[in-house]
Amino acid sequence: MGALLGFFDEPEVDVSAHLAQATTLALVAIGLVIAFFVVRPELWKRMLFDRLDPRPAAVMRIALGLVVLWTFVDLTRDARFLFTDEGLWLTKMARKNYGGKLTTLWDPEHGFEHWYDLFPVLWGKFSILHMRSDPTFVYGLYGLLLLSIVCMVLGVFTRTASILAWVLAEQLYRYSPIFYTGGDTVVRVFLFLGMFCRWGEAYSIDNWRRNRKAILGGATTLPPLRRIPAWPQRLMMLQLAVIYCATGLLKSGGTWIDGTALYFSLCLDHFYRFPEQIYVATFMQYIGVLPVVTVWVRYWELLFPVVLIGMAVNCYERERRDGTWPQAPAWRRQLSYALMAGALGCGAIITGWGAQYYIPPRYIPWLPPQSFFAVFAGLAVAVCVLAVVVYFVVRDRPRWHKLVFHWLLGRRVWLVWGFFMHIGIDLGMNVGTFAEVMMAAYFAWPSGDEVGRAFRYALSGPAAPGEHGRPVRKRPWARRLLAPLDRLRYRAPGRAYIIHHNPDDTSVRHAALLRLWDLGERLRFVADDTVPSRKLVLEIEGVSGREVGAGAGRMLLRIFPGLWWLRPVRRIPVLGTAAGALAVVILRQRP
Amino acid sequence: MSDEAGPERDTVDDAPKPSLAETLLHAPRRDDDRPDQRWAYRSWLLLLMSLAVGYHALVLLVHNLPGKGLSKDVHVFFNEKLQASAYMRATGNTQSWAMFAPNPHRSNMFMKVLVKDKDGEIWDLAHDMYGRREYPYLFYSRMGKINRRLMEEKGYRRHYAAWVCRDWEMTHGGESPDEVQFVKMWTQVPPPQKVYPTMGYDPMKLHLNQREEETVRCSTSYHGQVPEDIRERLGLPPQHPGRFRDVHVRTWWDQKQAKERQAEREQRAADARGDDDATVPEPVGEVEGAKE
Repeated sequence: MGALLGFFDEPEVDVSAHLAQATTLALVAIGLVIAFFVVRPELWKRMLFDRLDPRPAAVMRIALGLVVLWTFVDLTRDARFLFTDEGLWLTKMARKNYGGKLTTLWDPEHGFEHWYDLFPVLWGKFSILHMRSDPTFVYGLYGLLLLSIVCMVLGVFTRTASILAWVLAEQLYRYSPIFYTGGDTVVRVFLFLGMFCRWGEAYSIDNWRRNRKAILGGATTLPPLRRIPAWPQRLMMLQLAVIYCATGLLKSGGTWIDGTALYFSLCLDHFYRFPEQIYVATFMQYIGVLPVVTVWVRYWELLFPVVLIGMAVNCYERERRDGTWPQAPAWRRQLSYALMAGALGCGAIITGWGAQYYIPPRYIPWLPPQSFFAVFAGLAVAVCVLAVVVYFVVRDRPRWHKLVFHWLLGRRVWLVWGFFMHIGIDLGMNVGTFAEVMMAAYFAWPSGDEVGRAFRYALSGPAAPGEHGRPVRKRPWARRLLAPLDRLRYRAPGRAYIIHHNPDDTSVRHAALLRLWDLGERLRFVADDTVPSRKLVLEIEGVSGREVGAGAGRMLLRIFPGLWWLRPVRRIPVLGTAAGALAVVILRQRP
Repeated sequence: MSDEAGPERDTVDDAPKPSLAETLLHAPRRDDDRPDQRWAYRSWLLLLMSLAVGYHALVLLVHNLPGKGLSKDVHVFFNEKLQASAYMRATGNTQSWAMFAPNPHRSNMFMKVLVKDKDGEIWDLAHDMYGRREYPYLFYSRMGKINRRLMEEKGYRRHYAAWVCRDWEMTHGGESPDEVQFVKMWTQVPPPQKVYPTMGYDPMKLHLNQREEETVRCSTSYHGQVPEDIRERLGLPPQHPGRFRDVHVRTWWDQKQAKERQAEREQRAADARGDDDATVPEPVGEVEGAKE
């Protein structure tokens, strides 16, 4: 933490007096944390090698994939200029500047000297474009990249497509860094982690094909969700926390302290969506909204890693109550506490030195500079002790427990704020796809149940007053004012879609395929001898008449998120029927 | 034991077997394919994965610490002993998150790019976006980003100028321009207190500062000319050989050739020294003039 204070906006500070000790302490702290997990391997395993519901990762695959696709489709406008030898760099110049070891280990005429020279080249900044970058080759590679991203989004050969997407995207990114934005860096790091994530185990064509084969091949129950290793998602969470914390720390300039940073950002010609925004920004600054948001944004970013601690504490609390938290003998617990305390102690000392060197005395004129080390090291220790004390005080007091663990340390506050912050940034400024890719990365955080609930929510309707817990508001002003919130908060399940199927096994199996698409859990099934085998017959609760074949398929477009891409044409006379017929084919039903 | 188990089994057998429709269409879907398996991997694989994941997490954290100040030597340690920097580079994880940090820019900066053609006429290529952008600004402009980068990182300018020369040549029938000029332009974003009286300002009415920066000559600049193979590809008339100023990249082949030449030179030198060495007896038949 102390070392992080090195971000203070000061010129080079001579820290040589404590550099060696700080380095030793930092390494000791790292060693102690490693020792903590060696003593408590069950916590390490619980954190990283648990098996997770695949649905959040699957949603993230789709969201991230769409943003990456958007990024690269948008980049096609400049592809000739950026990546081909008819653009900014002739191949040789790009290789010379950015090719790393390829520059010397590969000769355009004679190739590699040894076959094993390929390994040091790959361990560098290798891009195939440093060997060849004529437009035909580049466009071919670019097309392959777009195809692999589309496959990744759809979940077709997901693992292969994810690896290909990363490899091919890197070929372009490594050619030259001149065009990079923050969004590109986020794309790169999450595509890398995505390769290791088995995010094709839900909401993918791979998964549909596998389950379909199992159901039609004789399975007697719906195939269960295939759980996936947690560690790629955990690393994604860590990466997101690192991004926010680092950017918060780096925002150490005066404008982030006096609250003018957002005003200046919103007024920069390079970013605003409309020049007229300047008037809005000035007004918001004048009434004090922007200064508050500026300071808030900085500290929210800086403190974002708190949510990781919150997740760990909430997980412990939940599993402690359930009795599923991994147990360890007392001696290991005590030893692990000592190790963690040691690591935090090292951090506290480094914090003290950081304060001594980097906090300008003018910021704290009432404190003698000589006492900075002792005061800040003590403060760091006090914060840790206070956190433990607060935990023990709060854990058995339900009201406080909810306030601290559920809200203060809970994901919803941090992520929902982040979501609104990015939406705000995106509305006011054009900084490429940074906001979108950051929001896509949020899907690494929810649980599978939360994703399931989100789909059920999306496919539910607002409850009427007096139903499903929605209060009947008597005062007219309250009724009008709170109606939008009540509609969002109190929901009633949508109308059931009743599938009438023939009772024979084949029809039952084909009807069961529909359940794989029913994320809002709106389907009901009724056996009906009068329905021909495998025929798709649909009745909507509260609506008279039945829909058959393409008509039924057209109705199902409303409740199957996997087919929402066909939904816009649902009401267009001929196209709607065609979309319904296509849905029937996709769903493997008889029209 | 078997007596006790018998009736129980009978009870199970007697229970009505759920129909296929019940299990496939009405039973809730299980959320775990292997409920008896707690962890994702077996022990040995778990250990291996722990090392990999721990390494990545640690390197990620250290990589994001500042490279100066108190954490400088931690960086050095990780880069030298654990190849942290090389790992981040090889995996495309190199990262820096200094967006709007330590402060956002407080001025709008643009780089005007001018070209002087063979006749001495000067053309503004409109690469800067000052007063040119269409609103609403929906699609992110990479060229705008690059234009800003030309201001901040001077090293890019000569490469950019070389491209401008080549691009001009490619779009003007193969005729090269004379030089490329960079002109820095900027306007100062007024601090909020200054614009409160008017509650805003018109960005086009801000004072525009201008300063001439580098001028790059196309004929003498590296890669400032279209090479022959690209001229041929684009159907441009060939140019006289030697016009293209290429950069020299020393590959293993060049090094090998140089070494061979060096060895040859050394051999010749050794031979020459041998010829002069009085202690070596001269072969009789090779004595100069012996054949005569």
